[in-house]
Amino acid sequence: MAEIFVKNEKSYKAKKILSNVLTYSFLGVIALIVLVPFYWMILTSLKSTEMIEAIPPILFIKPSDWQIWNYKALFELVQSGPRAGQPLFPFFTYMKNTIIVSIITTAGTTITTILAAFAFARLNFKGRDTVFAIIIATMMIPGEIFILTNFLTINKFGWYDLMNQTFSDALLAMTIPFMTSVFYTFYLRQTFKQIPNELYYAAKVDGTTDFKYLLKIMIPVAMPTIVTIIILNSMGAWSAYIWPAMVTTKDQYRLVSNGLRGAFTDSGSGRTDYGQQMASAALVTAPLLVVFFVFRKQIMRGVSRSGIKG
Amino acid sequence: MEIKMLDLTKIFISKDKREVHAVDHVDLTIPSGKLIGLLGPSGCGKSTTLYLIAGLLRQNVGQIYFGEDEVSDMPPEKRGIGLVFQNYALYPHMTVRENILFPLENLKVDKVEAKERTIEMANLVGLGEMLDRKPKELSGGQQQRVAIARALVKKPRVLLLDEPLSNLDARLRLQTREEIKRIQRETGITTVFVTHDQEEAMSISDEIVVMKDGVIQQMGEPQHVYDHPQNLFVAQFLGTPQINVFNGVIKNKKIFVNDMLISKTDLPDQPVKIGVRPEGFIVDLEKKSDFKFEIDLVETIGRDTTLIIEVPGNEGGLLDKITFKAIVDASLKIKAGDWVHFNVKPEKMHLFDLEGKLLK
Amino acid sequence: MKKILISVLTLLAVFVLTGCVKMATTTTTEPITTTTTGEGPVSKIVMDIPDEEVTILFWHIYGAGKTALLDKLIDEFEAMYPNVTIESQSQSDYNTLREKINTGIGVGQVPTMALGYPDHFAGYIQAGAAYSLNNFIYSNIQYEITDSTSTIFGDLVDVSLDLEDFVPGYLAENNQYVGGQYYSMPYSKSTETMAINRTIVKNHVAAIRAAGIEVSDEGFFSHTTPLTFSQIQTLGTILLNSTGTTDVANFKCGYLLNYDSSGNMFINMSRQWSAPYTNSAGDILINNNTTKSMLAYINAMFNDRTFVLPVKFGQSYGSTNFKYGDICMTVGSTAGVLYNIPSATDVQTNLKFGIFDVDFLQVPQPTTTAGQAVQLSAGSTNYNFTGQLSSVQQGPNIGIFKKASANEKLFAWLFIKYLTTAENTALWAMDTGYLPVRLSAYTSDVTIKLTPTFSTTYVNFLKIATDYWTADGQVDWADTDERWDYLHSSMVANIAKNQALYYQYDPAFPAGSSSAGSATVRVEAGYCLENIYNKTKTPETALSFFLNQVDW
Repeated sequence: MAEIFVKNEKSYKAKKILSNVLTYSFLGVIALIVLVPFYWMILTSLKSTEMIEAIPPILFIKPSDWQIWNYKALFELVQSGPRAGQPLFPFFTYMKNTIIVSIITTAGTTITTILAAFAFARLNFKGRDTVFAIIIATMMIPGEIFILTNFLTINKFGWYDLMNQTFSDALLAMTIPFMTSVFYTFYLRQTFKQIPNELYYAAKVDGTTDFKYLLKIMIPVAMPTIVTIIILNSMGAWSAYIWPAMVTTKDQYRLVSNGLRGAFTDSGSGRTDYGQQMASAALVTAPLLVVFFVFRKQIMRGVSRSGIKG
Repeated sequence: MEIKMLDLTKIFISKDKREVHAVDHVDLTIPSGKLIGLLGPSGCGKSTTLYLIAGLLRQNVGQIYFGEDEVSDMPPEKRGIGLVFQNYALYPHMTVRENILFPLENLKVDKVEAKERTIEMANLVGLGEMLDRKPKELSGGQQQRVAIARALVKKPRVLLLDEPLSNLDARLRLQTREEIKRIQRETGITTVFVTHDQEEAMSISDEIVVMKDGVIQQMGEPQHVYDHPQNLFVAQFLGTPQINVFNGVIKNKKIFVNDMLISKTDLPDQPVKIGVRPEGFIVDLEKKSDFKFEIDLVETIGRDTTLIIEVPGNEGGLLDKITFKAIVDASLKIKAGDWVHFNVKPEKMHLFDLEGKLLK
Repeated sequence: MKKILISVLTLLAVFVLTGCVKMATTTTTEPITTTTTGEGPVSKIVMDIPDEEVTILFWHIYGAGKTALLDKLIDEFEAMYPNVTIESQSQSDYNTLREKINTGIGVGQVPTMALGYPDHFAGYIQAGAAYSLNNFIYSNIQYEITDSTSTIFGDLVDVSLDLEDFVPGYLAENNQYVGGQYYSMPYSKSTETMAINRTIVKNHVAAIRAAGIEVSDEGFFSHTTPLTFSQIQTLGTILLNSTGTTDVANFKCGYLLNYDSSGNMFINMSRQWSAPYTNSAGDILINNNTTKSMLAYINAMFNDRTFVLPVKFGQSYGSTNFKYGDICMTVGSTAGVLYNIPSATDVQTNLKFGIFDVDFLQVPQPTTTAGQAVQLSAGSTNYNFTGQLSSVQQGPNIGIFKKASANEKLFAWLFIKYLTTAENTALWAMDTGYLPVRLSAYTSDVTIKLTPTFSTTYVNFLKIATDYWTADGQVDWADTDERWDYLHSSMVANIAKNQALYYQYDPAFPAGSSSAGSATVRVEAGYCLENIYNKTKTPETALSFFLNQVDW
């Protein structure tokens, strides 16, 4: 009896080890897939042009061979001419713009999304479902089509005046058209809908107004979803490319995504200085990494979306 | 605080645009300090009535008074009620303490006082140790006690409980039932308790109100309503096992079922429905009684034996086809297949007309 | 009073734009635009330069830090015209630049002037937004600079432009549009050139001479004569290693001649073969027997490793493998010349021939005199065909938009003129690796400071290479002589100067209802050759696939 038990125990252990090995190799492969592009970016940012061109590709560089120059060059100043003293690549200006635009867009989107989702999930008004259906239907229209209409709109608002665009005009032009999101509204409405009616009644009896209920109960309960929306939206804003390039007239209003594209390409030969480009890409990614590590817990919770217990 | 409802009516429009009278001209007075069970099958309008009292729904017709105050048009938060839901409806992101404190924050109660009252309430429901837990770290019964504490902390005039025990398992249900009873006694608050479970209602309530189709069928102390049902519905709704109903007829002051004489009466000749509680049968050992059946199944639990009798239907005789139960003393050792003669205890037999109205 | 007079005269200027003076009696409301240059002496109308404050919006794609020279020229221009401000703005890349202008045309938000490729301007013209520069080129107005703070106070400035001084190929590209009008002027132009591994050639000089190809003892030192395709093939028999890998001991490489741009290769070879390609109307003409013969020829050349494309090595350019010694010769943009020069910063173990010297020649050409007829068959047929001399010209032009006010247009035009003066175009050329757009730049004796310690005229800049060649490479320059730094640029400039005689342009047109735009056709032409190279398609299927992609 005892022997059989031990035997079973052994085979159970073997199975367990095997399954662990499989699980961790799978996770390892996935982690590698995720990490390789990142490693490649850092690696390239430390290479000279010749090292980048080398065949076969150089997979590892000794610290003594690191071309820190790529990073230093980003912060070099123009030596001569009318722009002397200004940065060669206005990295900090671009970063500042990107951060401002991301914050404004994300804050705006989150607020409109919460209010709209609340209205569609909780409030009763005539034609609510029809309006919601129409709004959902607009998701079928590809985003590119809105570029032209949005462009006409911001032009009408006077935010795209080639001669006189100010930074605040540019900010409005970059952010206002993206302060709503049909998808996020739908997503959050579904979460709000899962919150039992009784919670609303209980809060009513406890003396809250609709708005206070939204603020005190619904938002905290739906926080994982809202965090997800904030993360996705700020990632989108961070990497937005076409629209910001379209509606900004001056280089100093542009976002870092636009800057990365053009700044390192030699306009004559069409060749790109990948080393410098990757160095700046690494610097652009760094804040996102910091944000991720600081808010790791919240982000993970948001992604795994714990359900609401009734 | 006495609750008085006058001509209270709530009409819903159903999906096919029909008017549904969920609560239909209800006049009801709930005496102060009592625990009242609002009882009925699902869809009878009991929860609607509760929500009307709470102010979460607005009546179409009628008035509601709390004592001398008319509250008919008051929003829920002004009525001074505490409400407890079947699914507890605790705020999942708040701790027990925050949940209980929440109504007081809205009432802008002084912080120190609010804290004291929160602890006091938590102690009252026996959760003084668990103030810093989140709802999902508590059992269902504990969560429901938190909900009660949250309902009571603002010292409401009325406590309303909507199926508070339905989500609990059997053991917790009994415990919590006792707990509610105790808390109600200690606080002396007028309490309305909605349930579809007649046993629960009967065991906990000072008085029960039986509803059907938005109309109150009968109100009174549980045992009294059980013993003196005003109509066939009430008779059938209360009691486990259910009351047995036979089609019968009164001829010459005698009551017959399928030509079998059952009892005598002073009522005039007419067809009747005869309700006999399972415990209302007496086995006639002398086999003189006319009222006899072959036993199909015998179930003995403890000192009681339930005899199960299936009677095939016959035209104009018994109810089309009936299975009825009689509870008798286990010592009689009756077996399936035996023929048993019954006498009926008069106080356990109720006669109704064909509409189900009690005949007196 | 003077102001009124000026505005009346300015108004006149719009109407009177021909070479022969028509006085204000004309009632025409349309601007008169004509391409005739006018014969004989032209009477000039002199008026004061407008003194209204004018801001000119100039869109380009030069990133911050690469605009130092442009900024300097702007500063100088603003000093010449103190009432003018030039706002120079980078729109990061050509696609964004074009998209923004195309979208902006609809709402009237376009810059005063912008950089662009011919197909961009073709699109702007179609949208009715581009301004015909003929209005200025043939103007007979002279402005007197009346602002005493101007650096050219008192001068008379001609509005008109002497087209004779421009490289003819560039002019042809810029007036290919409807009505033969100029809608843009050449600005940053480059061409292709061929780099050759001198170490390999030096070790086969005798064999090359024996095959009848002229070569110096030190390498290919001629900037006047291109190699013919026939000679390229002959060189293949001498320089190619039969195994397809580099043979360092015997100085042979695996592949003979790389073409960086397969699009340019298709288009330029079509012209060399006189094979119809496209026309300015946007017709796709590639479905013809000459093109088919050409593709069969290219395919045969691919097969025996005479031609190679960078895709072979998984690269976008051949420069890396040229430096490594995998390829003997490579054709690429003059703007990317220096990428072909091996140096100490390369990964030395990859350089099979070490750090070798590089020579430059014009791109290969067909025999223009009576040559052998083209024979196409498998095997070792020597292809020698009579065709046309042709080389590509590339790089953006610069133009003005209709939307701007008359004065804005005028000063934008004067700015274009200033950017393309012989001196400035020479300076731009030496600073950026582009080529001068004016013939007189090649004879310009204005001294230009290239580095704090090195100044030269364009003539002397060209002389760096010719001196070197004349001395058969045996120059007595010190190691620290800065001429070494400019030797390759100078070689290329000399070659480009000769090659400019037979520049051809690629007809530009926007996408239409039945065919793709010229830019797309160029891309697909490149894919066509890559498909043939990769053997994913035969020359026939590659061509029909190409046709399918661009002709709807």
